[in-house]
Amino acid sequence: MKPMSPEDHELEEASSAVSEFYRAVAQDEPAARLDAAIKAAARRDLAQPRHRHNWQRPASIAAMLVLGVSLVLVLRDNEPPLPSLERPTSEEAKLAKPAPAQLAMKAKPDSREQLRREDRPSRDRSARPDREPVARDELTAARENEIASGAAARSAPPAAGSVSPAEQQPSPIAEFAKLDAEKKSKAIADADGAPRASAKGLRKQESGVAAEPRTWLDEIDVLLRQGKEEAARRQLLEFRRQYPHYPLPDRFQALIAPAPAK
Amino acid sequence: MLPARLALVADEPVSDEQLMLRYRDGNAAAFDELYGRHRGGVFRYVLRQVGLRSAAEEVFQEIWMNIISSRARYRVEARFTTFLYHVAHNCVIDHFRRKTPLHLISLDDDADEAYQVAGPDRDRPERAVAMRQMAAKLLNALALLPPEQREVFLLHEEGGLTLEEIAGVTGTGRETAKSRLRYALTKLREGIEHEADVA
Repeated sequence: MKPMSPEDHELEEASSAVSEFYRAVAQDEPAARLDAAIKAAARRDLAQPRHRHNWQRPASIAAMLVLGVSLVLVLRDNEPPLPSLERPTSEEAKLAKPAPAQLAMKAKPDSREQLRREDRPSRDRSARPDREPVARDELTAARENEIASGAAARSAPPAAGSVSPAEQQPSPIAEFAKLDAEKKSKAIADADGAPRASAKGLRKQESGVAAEPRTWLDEIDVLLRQGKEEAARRQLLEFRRQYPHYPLPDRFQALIAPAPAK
Repeated sequence: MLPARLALVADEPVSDEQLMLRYRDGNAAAFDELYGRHRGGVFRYVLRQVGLRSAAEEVFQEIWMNIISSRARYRVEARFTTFLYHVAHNCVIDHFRRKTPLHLISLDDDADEAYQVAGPDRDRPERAVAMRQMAAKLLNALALLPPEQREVFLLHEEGGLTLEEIAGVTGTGRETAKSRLRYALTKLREGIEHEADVA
């Protein structure tokens, strides 16, 4: 306890003089009915069970859980797409390396759109954890570069005075790709009049994907290995009809060669 | 350990805090004892500030209802008196927020009821009259004090609070409380001495 200063002593003396007189005159008391009411209220409070607030704790825990789960779900649904996938095309073209001319064979007219569709953020991205964002970015750039060079090789006319590397060294494959594109556009334009392609080729055309001669030949090769010579021959005839200038291996040529006149 | 009821009647006085803890634990008699100790002081503390008896009774009841409802949460963190007058202080402030400004005690209103003087002097009519007049002057001087000084005086006088406790209840510093108390005492003493000289 702090010792009293002289000032406090003086205050105490002044207080005691006034206090004595005040106590003598101030005798007010609350009314008896008020005393009884307050005491009764105190007893009532004791009699009341204290379970009325018990629901508050579990209710608050449940509310917190619901809120937390909802927040997580909302955040997951509204997750922004990966920044590497939103890079503009011009930037991608700048960053992409020049592709070899052979890749033009694999180019597909609508591959760019397909790639974009694939690269859109998906809700079940977690189901494909093996696909790293950076790896996807590089893959996308490389594939789009292929598409760009393929399209340039096939459709864009060369500018006056400029000679493309493909023209400097014309390869039979690049030439064939050009013919292939022309043939396909003709087939689509004149779908009714044109003879029906093979089921697989037709499917590819309907789906907008160009038939790849090499793949087709591989499939024919598989048929031959399986001993389905007649089917292979039919496919090969169809192939020849579709791609009359495509160089065929000797064994395929022997298959469709007309029988020697007896 | 003695049962609560037996402890109440034991010779050693039980502290206010112990009584409140017993009431918290379900002992109604402990509350009666506690209430009996403080009912007068709290009532006068309210009455001197509020002015009208009816309003004072309303605030007084509100104070004790707050004490009752805080039973389950009660922990001994300070003297019970400090806690009680803190609640009283808040209830008085709430009353003034709800109502019109302070009603000063008028010497013409309820004079007979409010300023009765107890003691043997009552038997001597002339002395009793003088005392009544002095009491009236004192209470009038008290009513005319600034509200802050009046409250500090009442907390000191009715609640028996120290300067530190008064500072805690009123939310001021110790020196402020001390200054207010000094001013209040000076004015009240002047009122009494002046009346004594006249008598």
